[in-house]
Amino acid sequence: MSAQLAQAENKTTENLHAGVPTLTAKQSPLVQSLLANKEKLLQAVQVLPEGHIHVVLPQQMKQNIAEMRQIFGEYGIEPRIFVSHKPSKSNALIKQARAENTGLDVSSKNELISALKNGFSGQNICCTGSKNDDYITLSIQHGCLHSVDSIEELERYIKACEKIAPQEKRNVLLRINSADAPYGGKISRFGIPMCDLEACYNLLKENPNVNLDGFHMHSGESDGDLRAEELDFLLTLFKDAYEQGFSPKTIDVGGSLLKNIYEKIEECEAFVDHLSDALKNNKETYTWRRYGYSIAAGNQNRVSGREGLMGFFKLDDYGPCVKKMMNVQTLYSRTSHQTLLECVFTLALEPGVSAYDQCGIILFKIVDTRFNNKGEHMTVLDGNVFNLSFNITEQMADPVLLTEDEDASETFSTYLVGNLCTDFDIMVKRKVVLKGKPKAGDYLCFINTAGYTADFHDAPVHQHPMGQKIVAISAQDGWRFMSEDRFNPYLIEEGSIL
Amino acid sequence: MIYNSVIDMIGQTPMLKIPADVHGLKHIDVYAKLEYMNPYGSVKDRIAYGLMKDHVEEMKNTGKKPVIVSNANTAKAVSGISHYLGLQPYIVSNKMPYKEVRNQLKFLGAEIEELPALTQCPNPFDPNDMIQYAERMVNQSPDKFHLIDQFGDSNNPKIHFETTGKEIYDDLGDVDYFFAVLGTSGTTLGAGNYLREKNPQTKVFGVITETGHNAPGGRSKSEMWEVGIFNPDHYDEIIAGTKQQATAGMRELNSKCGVMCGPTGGLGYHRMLEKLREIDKGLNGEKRHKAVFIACDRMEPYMDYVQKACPEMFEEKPSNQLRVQTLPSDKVQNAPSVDAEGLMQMFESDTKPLVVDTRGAFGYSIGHIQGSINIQDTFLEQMLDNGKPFPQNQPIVFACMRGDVSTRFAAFAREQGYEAYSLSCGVGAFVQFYDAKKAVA
Repeated sequence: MSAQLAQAENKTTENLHAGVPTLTAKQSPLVQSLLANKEKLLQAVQVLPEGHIHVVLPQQMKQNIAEMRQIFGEYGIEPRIFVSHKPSKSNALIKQARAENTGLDVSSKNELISALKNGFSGQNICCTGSKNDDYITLSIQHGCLHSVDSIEELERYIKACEKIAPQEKRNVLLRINSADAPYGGKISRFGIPMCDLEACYNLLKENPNVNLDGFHMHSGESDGDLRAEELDFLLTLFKDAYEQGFSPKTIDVGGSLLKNIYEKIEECEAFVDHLSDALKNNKETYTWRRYGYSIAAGNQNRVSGREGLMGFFKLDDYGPCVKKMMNVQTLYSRTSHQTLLECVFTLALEPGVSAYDQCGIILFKIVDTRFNNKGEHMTVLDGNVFNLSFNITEQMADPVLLTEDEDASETFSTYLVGNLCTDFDIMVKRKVVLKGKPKAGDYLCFINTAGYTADFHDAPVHQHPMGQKIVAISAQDGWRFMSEDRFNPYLIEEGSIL
Repeated sequence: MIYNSVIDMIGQTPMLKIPADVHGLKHIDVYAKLEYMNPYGSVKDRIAYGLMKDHVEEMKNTGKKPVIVSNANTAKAVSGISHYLGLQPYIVSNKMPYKEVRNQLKFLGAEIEELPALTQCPNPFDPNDMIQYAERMVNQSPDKFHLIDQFGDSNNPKIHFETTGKEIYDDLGDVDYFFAVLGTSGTTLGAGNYLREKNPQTKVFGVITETGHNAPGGRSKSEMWEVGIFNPDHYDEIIAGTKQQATAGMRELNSKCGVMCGPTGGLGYHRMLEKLREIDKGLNGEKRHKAVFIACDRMEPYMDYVQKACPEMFEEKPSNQLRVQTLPSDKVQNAPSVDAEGLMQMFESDTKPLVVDTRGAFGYSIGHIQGSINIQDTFLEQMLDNGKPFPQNQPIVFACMRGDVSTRFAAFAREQGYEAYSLSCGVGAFVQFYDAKKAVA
């Protein structure tokens, strides 16, 4: 035992762990049930090859889609849901989305191929994002709904349609740049500036085989008032388009229907409060090398940037946002949901985070534990920062310790470090708080990782293995585990695996 | 009272005693410092002029523009005062969400620079962060701009020490409890220090908003760190409140005391009373205690805020008279209806029906039943509530999108003696049926 370790071991638990802010991850009942059966879960993962494990929960996606339909259904709206493919590479979840009769929003040729492979027909696929010629070709061949991102892309698309499907109608959405939203949206690299809209109309008038099916805007905003303004703005575009002789039907408002991933908002507030105080007054931040996330102490004694961090902490799920969107006063003094219903317009959604909410967890095996020269406890995981796309989600919730120790209730704070031979491999840039003392052989479980976190960036750095995926099913006789290939959502009915 | 300049009217605001039967406290007198009586409508008039006054001559002589980072009361005050003094105010703000505010500031002569910032709050990593942008702008062109920094300038509390605090003391003498909502925290720091200097027993309470709630001009606990002059140790207690409490406070002050203050005044008042009720219980009546709160600004700009916080306040109350909305459900359920085929038969009969499409004008313009007229349900409701708008010698068929709204109108029209029906299948299904039949024919 090193001198430092011995010194640190002599410190009381209170000294080591007092005052470290806790951020408890929210767990759905399904996730709670799975973790309550940790013996079965650990048995299932222990037979898998080395490396971290993504456990996916397709039944959760079924619930998420049903919830989304129910929330919009309160306004009489049956949204056309295009589950976004990009947050996840899980085939099981994509199969589940197909079984729920959603569409799929794809962002590349290979995602489009994945959609087709998993049973989606072209009519139920919306092609978005930047597009090369192969992607456009495949989109046209399969008659996908095609979200056009610029007038140049529309020109390319029309030319490609003339070659690939000259006698057939193809449907496009015109994606409008969100910076042109009336409230002054964020500058975006995506979407057609309003000043190009007239030219797009002219192109479409000259090429009647390419049908203007509607408009699309994905601002990334989650504020209900702003989203309501966006919807009002898009409906105004519909009126203009009808006056120009088009008959658009689909109004695609994108995703950003967010869910809270933390259990207690008070903990989030306390975390921001503590970090602000610590950065301003040179106290212990409990973050790696005094990392401030979006917060920094600056001129005139000010500490700013809290909104960047608080943006990840949501008080409400997206229900109140939908309420504002659906009740905004729009054309001719009608509410948006009245207009959608009365005009028989289709409201299209591209949920990413909300569709995948609580649909996955990641398990990392603990390799060893140690203290650094400051006496700070570190837990070394058999995985690394490239296995967690926290730079997208900045997820900071505390993971759950899965240990066979009976007495694992005392809180224990530690830094999580990865298996890379680089100094930057700190898995979470804050000291996390665990229930129980971690030791080699235990597992750490990160919650709510299916959307964006699990495999958005997963990469075999140092030739370490990529994450393995297994499917967890809550069956009548307990939890069952299977490979993604073997998972068939149609063979699972009310807890029975057929 | 005659003033020679509007500047002279800043400060010396009235102190209103809140009647005991309103607050119900046994041992404490409560006073409202009516800061909305300042000429530009808020407590911010004090710091706007206070932070400018030593630089006015220099700005006039050099043509420097006073720069303020705000889109609210401080912007209004700086703009108004600058305009009056012949200076050119320059506002740096994120995109202003309300056109009304922008127009008001323009009317007051302001040049406005709206930044496409990533967030509404200060963000050190955003090159368009409005505070850093303004600081950079002033540092790069010190001969053109003068920054008025309400968040970081220690003169902010000094002004409140010298004016607000002194005025309160001059009116009331020793104060026991002082409450205000924390925005820049200048008022509670400055006036609080003055009152404590006179009476070290004065307790100072800061009121903030709960997470997820807002009161324009107020801040939540974590937002307070954005204010350089904020010092949490200054307060005996920091109390949080909701937007509903802010609205309730505004309402009570207005209805019972005639005070026309905005949400920050309402929130301060509401949270103060709750705290004082606790304190009042522990007092023995040996002496009268005095509490003061700040009514910061006027209510008029905040009706949208109030409506969002308490939508029920603005709901129309149904009258006792039988109206479309209040029709008993059994009558609605029994309203006669026709399906698509039934309506076709009616069209082919001698007494052709009048079809009234109750949808909005946009839906009607996109597609409707031939010969139908469009009266949107809200207008139709008013028409039917106020009389009999249709000829009574012709059947009326009400049509909406799904047959639900039209049922209510058919039932009500029946009560008025019409031969009225609801198109049960809705307009969309009828048009499909009609098109299919035409195609077969």
